[in-house]
Amino acid sequence: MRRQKARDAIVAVTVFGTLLLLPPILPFFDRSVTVGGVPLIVVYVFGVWLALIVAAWALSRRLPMDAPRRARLDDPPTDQIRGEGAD
Amino acid sequence: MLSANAVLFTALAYVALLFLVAFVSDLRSRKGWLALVRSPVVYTLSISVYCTSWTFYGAVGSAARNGLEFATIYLGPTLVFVGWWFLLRKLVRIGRIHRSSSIGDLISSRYGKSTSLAVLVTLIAVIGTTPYIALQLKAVTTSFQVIADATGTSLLGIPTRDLDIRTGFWVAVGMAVFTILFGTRNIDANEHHHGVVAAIAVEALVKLFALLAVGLYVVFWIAGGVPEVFALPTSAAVLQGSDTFGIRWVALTFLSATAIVCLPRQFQITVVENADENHLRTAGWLFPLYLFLTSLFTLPIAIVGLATLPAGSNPDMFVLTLPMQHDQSALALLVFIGGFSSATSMVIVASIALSIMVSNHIVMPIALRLPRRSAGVSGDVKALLLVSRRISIGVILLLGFAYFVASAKSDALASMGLIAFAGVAQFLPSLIGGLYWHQASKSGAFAGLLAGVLTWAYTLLLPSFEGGAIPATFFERGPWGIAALRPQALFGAEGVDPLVHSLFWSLGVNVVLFVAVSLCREQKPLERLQATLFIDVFRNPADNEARFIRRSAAIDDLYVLAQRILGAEQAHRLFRDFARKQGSRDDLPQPDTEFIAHLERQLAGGIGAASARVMVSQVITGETISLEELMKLVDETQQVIEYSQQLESKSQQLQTTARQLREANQRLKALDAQKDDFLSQVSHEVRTPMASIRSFSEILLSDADLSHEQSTRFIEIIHNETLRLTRLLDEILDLSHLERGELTWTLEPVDALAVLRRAVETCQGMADGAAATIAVNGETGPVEVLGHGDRLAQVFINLISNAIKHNTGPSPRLDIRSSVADRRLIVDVQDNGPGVAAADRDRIFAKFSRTWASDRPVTAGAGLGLAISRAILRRMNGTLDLLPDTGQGACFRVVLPLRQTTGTAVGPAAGEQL
Repeated sequence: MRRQKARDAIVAVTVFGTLLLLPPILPFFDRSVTVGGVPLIVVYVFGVWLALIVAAWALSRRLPMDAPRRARLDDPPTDQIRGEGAD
Repeated sequence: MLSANAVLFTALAYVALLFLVAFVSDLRSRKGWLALVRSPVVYTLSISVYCTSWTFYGAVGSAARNGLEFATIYLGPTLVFVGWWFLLRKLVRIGRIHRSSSIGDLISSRYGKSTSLAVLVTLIAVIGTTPYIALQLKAVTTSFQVIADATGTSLLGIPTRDLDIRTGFWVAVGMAVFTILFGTRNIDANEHHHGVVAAIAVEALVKLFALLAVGLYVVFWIAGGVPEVFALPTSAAVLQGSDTFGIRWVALTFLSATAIVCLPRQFQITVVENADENHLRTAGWLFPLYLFLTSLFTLPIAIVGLATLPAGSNPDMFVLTLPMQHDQSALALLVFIGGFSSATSMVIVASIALSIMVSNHIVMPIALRLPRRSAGVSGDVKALLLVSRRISIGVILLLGFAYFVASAKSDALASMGLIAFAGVAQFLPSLIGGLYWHQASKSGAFAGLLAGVLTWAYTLLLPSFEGGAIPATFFERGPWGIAALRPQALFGAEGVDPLVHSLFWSLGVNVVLFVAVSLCREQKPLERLQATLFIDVFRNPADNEARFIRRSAAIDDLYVLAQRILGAEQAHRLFRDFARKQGSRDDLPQPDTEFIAHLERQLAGGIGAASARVMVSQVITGETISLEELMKLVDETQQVIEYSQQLESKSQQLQTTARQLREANQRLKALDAQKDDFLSQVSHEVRTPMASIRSFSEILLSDADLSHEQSTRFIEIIHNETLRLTRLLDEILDLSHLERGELTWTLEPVDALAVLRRAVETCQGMADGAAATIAVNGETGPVEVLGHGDRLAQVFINLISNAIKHNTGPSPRLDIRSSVADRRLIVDVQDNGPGVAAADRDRIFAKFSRTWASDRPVTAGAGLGLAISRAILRRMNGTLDLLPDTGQGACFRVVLPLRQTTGTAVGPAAGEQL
């Protein structure tokens, strides 16, 4: 259940991140306002960017691990990887 | 003091360092010490080969011209990596399982291991990458030139006007040597170049460090703080581009997101060189962070550069010229090395990726089609591959250099980065379609790619030569004067940004043809198999392949083949390991279909899937692809999906059913308890009269001296008790029949009020005996209901007699009110007795309610009266209820529906439950 949530969350983060960084939302912040001396649009773009990174970092440890695969790919195939986790 | 020569020697020293890093890493990896080289951080850093000198220097230039637009080049990749779970993870998994050696290999492998598709992809990649390599050469030579000009020194005494060509040449040679040394060391079944990856990771750190250093210097030393930077007048000029956030912003973001997946060098690093799929987990946030840091100071550098450097300075070189302006020699040197790093890492990885593609997809197929010179010698294919890769690297760099020389005097190179992006973006439909769409076919991919790339070349690449080989009129009026065919205004689409215009037409044509042709043309069996193996990669391990392709071969032939491609040692190891796995002590495994599939994948890692298939096909006999098995697999996958969905809904249904069952069970348990109660009460009721009958009859039997009078009294008692018993049993029978709906009386129109009057008359004698008065009020006229006269009378008599019997008040009185409302007849029987105790209200309708048992007269019923009455009324679709207590005695209410005058009343459901 928790994994499913993390998977859904990564979808949401990616989709919302994309929407936030594209018109028509983006130009909304393109106005002559400054935050601590920095134009709003710059703060916004880099802020969303950083938020995406933090979200990806937080979610990366919650997403299910892939089943341990053969140590080296040129080892002969073993049957144990049959039927491993679906996506 | 900085001089061109000093810079040159620093660069050489830096290259020597790279050689050392690559050498040591290669050495370590061959000894099996892979801990550091195969860490997720190194993997992430190596992905930063995305940031070339075009971004190192050019991002500031872009920011100076178009403000924030430069960020799109990084935002696209950021989004792709944040969403790594969907695309990149699948790509890497497929690449690893199918041993894809390049993006061309992966696409060709997906579409039935097609050679022609691989060739097409390779050509596109070469066309797209060569100018990009030229761009790197230009960046390095320009940076040399800038330093030489600024310091007034000359590089090894070469006159400045020749500088760019010569440095360009030597830089190209140096990179070729490095790449050949570390990129073509071996034909590795894994295609891992640990040395190169380590060197690229070091370069990633160097360029990031250089950018951060110059950024911090510019912001805090030159400008004096972040707000001061944005307070400069140039800040407003940079940031207030007219339509930065328009369609071009969207197109660029999309393009850069595509490029991070489709660029051959990115595929090489992200997929081919991936040592562990879980490294993506780290790269998913660390690579975006790298990009974030890379671009953090781009805007400030552009703003400060525009404000402080003399007008007319090249903004593409601000990163370098700003520290030089302020005489920061060390910093300038660091920046130079950073830019040099960006250029070299891109060139190295790109040329490795391209050389693999050229050798696997162009040289190998040609070699395979040439008549065999001699019987295969061990390692001959391997040698051919290595030589062809080395030559291709040389040729690719030579091509890049030639392009650089040809366009050295024009500004065409500056836009080359985005043109290359748009070129490789043509891979996207085939790649994504191949990963997610079963019907995508080879013909569709080929048609889409070809048409897309031709459109791209016509609308974007060709115009970049404007004024050179092609006259300007061609673009203004179109070929042969046909305006609709103008490259930058195709079919009259004028006034659009050229990049957006080209992207729209080329990808549009690409997608439409890809989909349309895929839908029209039937897939070959191998295509269908590969489609299933790719798309369902997380469900069907490639080992399943053996299920579908049946083939046999002589083990000796296979061994010779493996030796030719992999070399004697690796081939021996491969065969021995598999033999062990089969449980054989021999060094040669059984050449079953599973082994052949395994071998083909191993070979594919070296020479590409298409060539591997051709070579294996030469030695095997009797290949059949079991379509039946294939369809089964597809069905199985579909079924698994359907099953899991069904399971989910089933489990919800099950939960509901279980809850209902639990409730039903509780009801059943209650009913069971009621039944037990009923039985024990019946026994009890039967026992009391039986006991008196027995005792009196015993007295009669044993005592002969009884007087006649006495014996008559006893017999009378016995008679009464048997009467009571009979009545009880009758009532029980009656009730059970009623409850089971077995009673055979039919519903007929009855005047309920007449029945009520008759019942009152019947009870009048009893009322007189108890000195009770009965008052009947309400409706007078006939009120017809559907029912049974006698039964209805029984109900009323029962209610009235109960009211009389249980009224212990001083002046017992009964009020019977009848009324008609809402097409129903309501009869209330109200007494002025003590009423029903709250605790008993629920129970009085139950059988043998013990409420009135204690002082029940002999003539009374067995406590079944109300239960029977209720059952009777239910048969007549009516109800019997005890109205809420008002403190003025008990009031029972009978409700009966009036007879429908138009139709027949609906009878009660058969077998009605309790």
